Amino acid sequence: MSEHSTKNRDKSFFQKVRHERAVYAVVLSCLLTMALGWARGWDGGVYEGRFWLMKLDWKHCADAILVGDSRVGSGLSPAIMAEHLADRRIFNYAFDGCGFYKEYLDAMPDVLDPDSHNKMIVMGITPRSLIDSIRNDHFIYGHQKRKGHSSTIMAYTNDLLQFCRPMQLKELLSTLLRVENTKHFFRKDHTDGWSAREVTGQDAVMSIHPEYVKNRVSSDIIEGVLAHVRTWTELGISVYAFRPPTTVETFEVESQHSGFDEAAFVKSFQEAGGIWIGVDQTAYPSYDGSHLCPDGAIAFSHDLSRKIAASEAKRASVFAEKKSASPFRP
Amino acid sequence: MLFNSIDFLVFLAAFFILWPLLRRWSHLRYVYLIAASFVFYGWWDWRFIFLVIACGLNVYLAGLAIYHFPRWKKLSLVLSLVGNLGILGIFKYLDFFIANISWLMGVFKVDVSIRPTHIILPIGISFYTFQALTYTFDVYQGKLKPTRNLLHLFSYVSMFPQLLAGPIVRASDMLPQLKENRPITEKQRWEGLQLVVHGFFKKVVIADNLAEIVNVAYSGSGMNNSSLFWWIITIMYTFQIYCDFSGYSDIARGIGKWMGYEYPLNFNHPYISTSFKEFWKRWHISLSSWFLDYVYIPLGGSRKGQGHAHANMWITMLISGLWHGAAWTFIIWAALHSFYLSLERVTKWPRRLSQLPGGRHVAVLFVFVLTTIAWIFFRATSFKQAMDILLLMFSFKNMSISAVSSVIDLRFMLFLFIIIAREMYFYLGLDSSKLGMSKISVLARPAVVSFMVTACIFLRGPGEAFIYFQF
Repeated sequence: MSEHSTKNRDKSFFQKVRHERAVYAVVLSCLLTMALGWARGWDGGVYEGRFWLMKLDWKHCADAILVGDSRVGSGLSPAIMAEHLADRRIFNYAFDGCGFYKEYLDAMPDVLDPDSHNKMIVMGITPRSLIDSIRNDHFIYGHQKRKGHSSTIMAYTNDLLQFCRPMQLKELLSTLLRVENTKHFFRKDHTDGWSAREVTGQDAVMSIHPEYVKNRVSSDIIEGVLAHVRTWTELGISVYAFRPPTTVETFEVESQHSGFDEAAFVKSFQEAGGIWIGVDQTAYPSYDGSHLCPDGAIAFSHDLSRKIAASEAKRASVFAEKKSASPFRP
Repeated sequence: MLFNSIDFLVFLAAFFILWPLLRRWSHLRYVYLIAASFVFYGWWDWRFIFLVIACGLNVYLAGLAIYHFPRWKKLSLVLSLVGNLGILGIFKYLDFFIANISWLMGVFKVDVSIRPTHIILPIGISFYTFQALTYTFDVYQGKLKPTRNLLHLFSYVSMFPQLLAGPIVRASDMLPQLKENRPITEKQRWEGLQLVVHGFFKKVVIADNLAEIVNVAYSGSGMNNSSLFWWIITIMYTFQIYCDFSGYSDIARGIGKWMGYEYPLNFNHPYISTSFKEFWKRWHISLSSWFLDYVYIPLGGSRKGQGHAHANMWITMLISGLWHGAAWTFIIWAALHSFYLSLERVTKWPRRLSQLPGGRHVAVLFVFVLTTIAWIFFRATSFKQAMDILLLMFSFKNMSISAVSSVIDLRFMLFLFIIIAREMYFYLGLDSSKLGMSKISVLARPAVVSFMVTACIFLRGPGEAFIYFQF
């Protein structure tokens, strides 16, 4: 046996591989990744891939849930709302692109804690969420991705995944060139389900209009919503609904082309036992013409929760009055 | 388990912690490999592990029967084929068969309502069924002595790197490798890393980003009426499917090298082919050679004259189309390629064209455009959608760039440009010239790989499943 091979055998594994090209590449990759990740900045939050799986894992944990599509998901912060709705565990159970179809409606009560005395469902009703179109949203997508133990693994590796989250080419370039980018590519998904976003350069009206060329608000979906509202209110769950605020342009496109008759819906919703909350549609800033930017979401969360709190207080006083006026009072 | 998921990265890291130690003992090596492969496959749905077991047991028993009872070898082969292809047929083709029967009954106004079964298609069933069958065929043809060791065979049948989407490794190539315990060299580690990184780059950076716009275009929500838009989308899909599939093969080959095994080359820059014959020698090589050896040649190949050769080629290609998926669009895709091949055999146009000045480049372009057109049938959700797209493309309406620039983001064009540039690099022979990567200094190569790793991390597209998983 040659002297070289004898020497080689005596070396440890790490001594053997330290001069390898593969090792250089791995070390260099780690350094580059860390440099680029740090250059972008670290703001915590939940990794997007895990965000939807995390929401699907919520079971019997909430007093109040906020449901709907991305306008609810990005437009309402449970933490802010909790300031006005004290003693309530609030979760934002909205999913991007989601409509009020049966599977989603059926899943909602399971998120509420059965032992809670303040059960509440707050529904953000957009015309798009009442369309019976292709179900290509994050609720369905999340269910498809739930196989195995992805959710658990992602929970343990969340910070690493979040640090290495993908960026758009524009973001990469502005990171490399050190251009101020936080305002243009901001997204932070919170553990309570709020997805705070501000991505500039997008025009939602362009994509909303074509949706209504083929699709209209479905009477079957509305019937499904009303039937569930009846059931929930009978079970003692307070059900609130509102139309999520947006911009004048989007509001007009949706009102004209979606076939959504808001007045008729509100009437039926109230008859089913729900409480409708009127919202100023254009009072909050949006980043893309459809969704609220974080500042707008915070302001809207304050306003909506105040209105809900006032309504709850009013209902409580009416209930107390009825109780005191009851001839069966002990 | 998807290669492009955090689950797989954790699984792979865990696997390679013990692999260098356990691979020293053959039985332990087999057990470890089988256990890891079952975890890998069962991650999606553990019940389908039993399909892999059934498939493996089938070929194990058939191999022994063929070898020990030569008088019954044909029967043993047929039983093995019926068993494995039967499982494949039930899971993959039953609903397609029912739908066509129902349609046919409707044509003849016979009122028979057969409900589709909606059986879930197990991921990669076509791949591992075909891979396992090579064992039966090789034993039948006397190329391989059957193994008595069930663990040895199962470590081959269930081997996780190429289990779901190939390359389809022949039993005669893999079983001897599995027996050995050669030391893994520095060259293997480095080549393995390069393959894995290139594979991930093709999959997560190119294919997944292109998929974003291609999926929107084919989703059917408002058909774009620009011809230029559809030409660009079709070219994007052409490269998406190539990067998606060859990316998987590269990753599988790279992991194989890390384990100490050599898998065959599955893609060799197919879009620089000067003829369709060459294209099929460069595209999904392991499947093409499978069909050549186990279908085309047993049918008679070209031994019985031109007419028979054409017929055999059509039969082989149509079966290959059906292998890809239970839909008429896949059969039409295969028929188109059969037509291209027949025309090429009759006219010999590639050879004639290549003799003209610049003819080779024209031939490459011609093969590329025709291949691209065939892919429309492969991707379309229906025959009608494919025809609508084709008619729009050849109407050459609305060819202005402004009609497209508002719909297709510039970043998608950049990813398309990157992959076209990469293929041009090989087409122009720069890989073997002085300018090529082979001449880049030893230190620069790891730098290139690390840039690609960083791109895979930060420029990855939305995590799409591999297209070929559905087959």
